[in-house]
Amino acid sequence: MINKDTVLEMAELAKLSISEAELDRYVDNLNQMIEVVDKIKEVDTEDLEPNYNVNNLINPLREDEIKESLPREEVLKNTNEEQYGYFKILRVMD
Amino acid sequence: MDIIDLKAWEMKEKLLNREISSREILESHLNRVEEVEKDINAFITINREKALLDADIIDKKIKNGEEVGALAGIPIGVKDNIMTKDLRTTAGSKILEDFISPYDATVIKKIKENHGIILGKTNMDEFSMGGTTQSSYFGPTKNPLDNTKVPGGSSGGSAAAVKSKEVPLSIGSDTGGSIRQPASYCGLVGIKPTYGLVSRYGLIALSNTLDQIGVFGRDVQDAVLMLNVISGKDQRDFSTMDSKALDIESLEKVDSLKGIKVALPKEFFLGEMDDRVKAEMDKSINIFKDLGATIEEIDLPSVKYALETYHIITSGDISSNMARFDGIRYGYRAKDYETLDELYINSRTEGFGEEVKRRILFGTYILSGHRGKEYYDKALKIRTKIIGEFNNVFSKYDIILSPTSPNLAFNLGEKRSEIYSRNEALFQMPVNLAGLCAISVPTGNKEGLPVGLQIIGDRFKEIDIIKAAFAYEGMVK
Repeated sequence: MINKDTVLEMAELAKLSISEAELDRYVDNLNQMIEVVDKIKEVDTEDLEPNYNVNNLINPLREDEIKESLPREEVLKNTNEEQYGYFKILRVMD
Repeated sequence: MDIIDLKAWEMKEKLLNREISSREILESHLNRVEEVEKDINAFITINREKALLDADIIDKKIKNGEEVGALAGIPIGVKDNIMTKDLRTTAGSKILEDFISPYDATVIKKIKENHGIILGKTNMDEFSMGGTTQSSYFGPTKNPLDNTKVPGGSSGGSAAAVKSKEVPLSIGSDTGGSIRQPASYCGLVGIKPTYGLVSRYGLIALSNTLDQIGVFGRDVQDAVLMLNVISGKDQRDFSTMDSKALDIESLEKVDSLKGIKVALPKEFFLGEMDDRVKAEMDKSINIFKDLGATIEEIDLPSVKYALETYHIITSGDISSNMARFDGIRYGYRAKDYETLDELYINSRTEGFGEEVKRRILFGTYILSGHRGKEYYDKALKIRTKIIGEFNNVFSKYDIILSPTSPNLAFNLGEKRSEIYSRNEALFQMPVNLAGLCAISVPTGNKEGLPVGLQIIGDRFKEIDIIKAAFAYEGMVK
């Protein structure tokens, strides 16, 4: 069973804040979802390999050539704060 | 003649014959948008000024006798999770409400190279998480056939825009049915291509090994016209493979399916199904027999785990994919914060809707600690099993037939039961899990809400499902 503490722990990992008023609802939702997916436990997967790609692609490699990329102003145009052509964030160290 | 009643291929013909201009085509659709949008809400953003400029450029080219591309002058709706340079891309979320795409997705580049005109960006469930288009931050889209009903989703805006004749063609994305189900609910043709046929570069990812961009049209020929343009290998999406263009001209003449082997999975017909869907399915099977196809029942025992497998894989992918929205480089930033951590937490908490948060939390839970092995790894193994069963079927049969959905479009705001969602998932999610192609075609019923017939084909065998769809469409028109 997922309890309030588990939901708060997951929220912390996912950088979300869940209010006391919403908490019960998320506890219920997550327990319902777990109940649904727990059905896979009845499947015997002993001899099966996990599938990572339906087309069985082998890592396609290419020459490491310098190619045109997005211009700096395009990259920065959606940010709230920039300085000297960089994203500006809060000071994290003194 | 009203231009908006024409199919895309008819518009293009008349444009090339100089019977109508590109500007006339666009203006008639923009007028239609003005007229119906307040009732339908298919679009989040309309690209009016730029589209008019593009239309004039095409008219000039035609006047000068220059070559024009396959989509010349055709207004196109683009699901709002696909990047369109200098135009807003929101993914139906508050967190991207003011996000301007810095580049074009590969599919958009191809549409532009073929002189298609981006009319606007269509509404969707927030980050494609949903099947009704009601979780959009920009309000729900309504079904043009009955505005008390949902259009389906998550690509509901793209479906509604084509059905209401605001555009003749649109593109959407399908991770677990998000093109086929709205196509079925709105009475359109919708194609979910094989994983790897269409580049996903510039598509906001939901679940990377399941997502695929596809098309909506009002008939098979229109949908194929669009699919041909957007398909093909792309250096920027290494999962894409080389593919040959489909020969539309030869397909028009398909009026027999002699020699085609059709499989009907027993598992698809065990659960509850709307009576009308059942009746239409029976009729469709007879039509395939009349066309000369042979039909046999088969088993796909593991598809009954498709819903669980899908939810585990997508939720895991979501918890990782949604981590990029941090309020720093782009997207919504909260007003109040003291520390960097508060900036992240407040921006994400205020920016994401409830369904998105639910799936992030669930994904984080099933990936954390020992649960990664217990759920995610196990789901990937069941996926192997499902793929194996489909491979076996396609070693003996050409196509699989099923309803696209066992349900009809339902009331806006109506809460659906888990059984209802489970039944629907059964028809749609296995196709993505196995990377197959599928098309939804409206059945023959002319009254009431539409029903979609789903034709599923093997990987990169689009030609098989499109041939079958052409022949079927010819019989029910």
